[in-house]
Amino acid sequence: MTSSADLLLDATAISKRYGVVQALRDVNFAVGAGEIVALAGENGSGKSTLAKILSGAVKRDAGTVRVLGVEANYASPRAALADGVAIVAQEPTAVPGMSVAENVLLTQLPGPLSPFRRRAYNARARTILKRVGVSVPPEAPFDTLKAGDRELVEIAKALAAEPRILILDEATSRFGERDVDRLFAILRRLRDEGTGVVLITHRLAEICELADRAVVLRDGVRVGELAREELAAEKLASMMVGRELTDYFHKRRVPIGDPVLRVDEVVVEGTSDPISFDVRAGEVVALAGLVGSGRSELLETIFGARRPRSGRVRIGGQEVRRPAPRRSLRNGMALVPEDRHRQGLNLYGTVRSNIALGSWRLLSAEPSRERRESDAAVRRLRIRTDRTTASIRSLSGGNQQKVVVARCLARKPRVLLLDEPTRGIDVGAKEEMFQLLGEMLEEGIAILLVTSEMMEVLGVADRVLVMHERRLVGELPRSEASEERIAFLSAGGDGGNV
Amino acid sequence: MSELSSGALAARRFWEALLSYLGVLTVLLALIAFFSINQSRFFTLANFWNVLDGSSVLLIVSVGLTFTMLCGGFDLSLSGVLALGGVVLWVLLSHGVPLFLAIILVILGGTLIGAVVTGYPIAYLDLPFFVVTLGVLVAARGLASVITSGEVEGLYEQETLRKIGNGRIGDVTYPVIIALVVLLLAIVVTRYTGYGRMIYAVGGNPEAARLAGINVRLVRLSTYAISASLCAFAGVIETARLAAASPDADQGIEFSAAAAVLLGGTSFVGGIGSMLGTFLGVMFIGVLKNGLIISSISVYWQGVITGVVLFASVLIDRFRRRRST
Repeated sequence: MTSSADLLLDATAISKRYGVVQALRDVNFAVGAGEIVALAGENGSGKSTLAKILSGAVKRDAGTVRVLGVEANYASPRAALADGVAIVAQEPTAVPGMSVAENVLLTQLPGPLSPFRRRAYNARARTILKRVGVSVPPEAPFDTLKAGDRELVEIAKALAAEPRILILDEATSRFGERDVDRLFAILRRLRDEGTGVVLITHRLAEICELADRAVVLRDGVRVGELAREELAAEKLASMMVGRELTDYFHKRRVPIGDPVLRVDEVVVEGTSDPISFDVRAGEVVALAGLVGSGRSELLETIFGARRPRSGRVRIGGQEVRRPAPRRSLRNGMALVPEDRHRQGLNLYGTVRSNIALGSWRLLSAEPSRERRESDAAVRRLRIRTDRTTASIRSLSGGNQQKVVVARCLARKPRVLLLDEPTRGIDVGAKEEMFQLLGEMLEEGIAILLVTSEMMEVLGVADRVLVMHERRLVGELPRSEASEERIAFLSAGGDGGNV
Repeated sequence: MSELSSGALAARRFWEALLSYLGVLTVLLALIAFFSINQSRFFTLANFWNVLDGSSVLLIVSVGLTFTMLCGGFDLSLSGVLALGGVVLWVLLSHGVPLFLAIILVILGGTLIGAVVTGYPIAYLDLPFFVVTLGVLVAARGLASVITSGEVEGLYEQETLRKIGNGRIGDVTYPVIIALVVLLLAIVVTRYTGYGRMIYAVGGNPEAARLAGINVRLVRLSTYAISASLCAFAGVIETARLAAASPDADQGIEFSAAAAVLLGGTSFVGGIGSMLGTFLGVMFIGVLKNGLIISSISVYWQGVITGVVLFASVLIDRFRRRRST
């Protein structure tokens, strides 16, 4: 533990209420110079609220925050930034049309009447970019960046203010495995330079690898702290949920039947290599690969959400002609898309209308069927809401995700495509998600799963297909699938780069 | 998870529904109270039907606009299609086409314009609705002027047509009955059919709707077809009321309609709103106009007051939403 003398940030007895929900109650949290403190907890445990209070985005109801020994009452994130507290938020905040340099220095723009010296500006951005290991010209437009570099530019943006304290709110969930290593190297260096780093993440393995200690929140209360030597994923998880977890990502053994989904020489738009494979009834096939390796694009092409350049998709021997989502659904294929806010939900709608989304027939009266089916789905998937007419926004991320899954299952699909189904949801919800998928497998469904969580791939898949740079570079049966092997193939080993 | 009794749930839902109309309902009631106190002739049943009669054409086009706006679009072409509808009706009648066939042809023609000329480029070619509907507005009105050489064409000899526009059962005129039937149908379609749910879903999140298997392009196109068909129909009603077809009929009604729809709580970006709200918005404009006339105040104040109230209601709504989240 750090002595109070070199505390960069010291928050005591922080409380915050949102309406009837007590988001935080008497939480103490401190960060010393040169340490990485993880903040762990399920969704809704108050991690993000605490991060927002510390970074000036949200006002606390009670408690004190001291930054470098001085009491701080920030009115805005800008005020916090001026004091050396920077945050990398959960959602990307880049302006796509501006240059990389302008994005990096967005918080450092000159005043409205001061001259804008582009050359000096670019030079400054270049130095900051070098610190995070991104080697693109600062004048390049932001949208030309590759996936991993984009995320690192977000980090660079936070570093532009030369913060003493850096808060990362779920920033790692957008990184692929390789890019996470780049991020970790940066964070370690910052720590060694004396910066205090607060790491909020769902990936328990990351906490164990990186953090000097971890503070665990549950339902807005601080339930404990683990020191470096005590850190272990199982221990963290059980503190977060307050109970021992069963191994949530272990697949039920069910008999595997005939191929249900046949992908035949499909060429994804913007690529040239045909891809073929099948998925059998009762089988889980995982598509592994780095972020940006083309897994989501392949999934969306199979589903018909993107038009393939060529090739055929068959479901139970029946070819899906003129691919489109509605034809795939009619043929018994459903997709849980990657981004539930942008692609999965009508955020203006209710729980009920989101479950029923797309199941409507043109002229029939739907309300009673909608009510019946959504009530049944809420019970079956244990979606936590007091009524199905509640706004979808009132649900936590995990329960929103269950709504998307409920909609897919309502169609009684034979093939279920899942794109990062556990992203941004808490451990308990993940466990429930996989339990549900297990039940579906027993009914003979075929599952094609894209996930960036290596533990899910290893725990759940009967077969692993590995993608690298938009090509299928390997297939591993369960017995041969190991973290090292998958990582090797994902990184383009085995001659992935031709 | 708390189990609420069905009675308590129904009451809660009722209050929530009432709350969503709170803004427009408050100003409407305030307006009615104001005119009632100041003018003895205002708060009478006869005048109520009178207000509705004066608002019947606006109500029909506003219902059409609500469809496009719920779906996340907008239709600037309302008055153009309306005027063209009236003029085409005159052409058909002057060529001896029987009245009811002519009316049906006008409505079908409007639907066709909405589907092919407006809806197709917007929904299938992804052209911006602002450009397309503005083009249709100008072109349709221009075409109407070309046909009549800019003249107003009298249809006084068409007795049945005049009856449709001016006939009455007691104090209630036929246009009021027609407009209320259109409103009722629109309420049923938006609230109780699968098609209605699709409109809200496409307006709320087109990408999610597409991935859920909804034919987003077709739904979008259909809302422009509905809007244009209702405008053509409104053109018939307006022509019947005036017993004349004018290429300048109801100029600028798209802006009154937009004000009514927005006042009624429909979101400019789609996915939120209701036909009932649109009805209240139309009533607000109708009551305002009627009250000003009865009070012998310049009727031009109507625009100023509508603008201010629209602005205020959006502000109130923003506050309400911020508090509830």
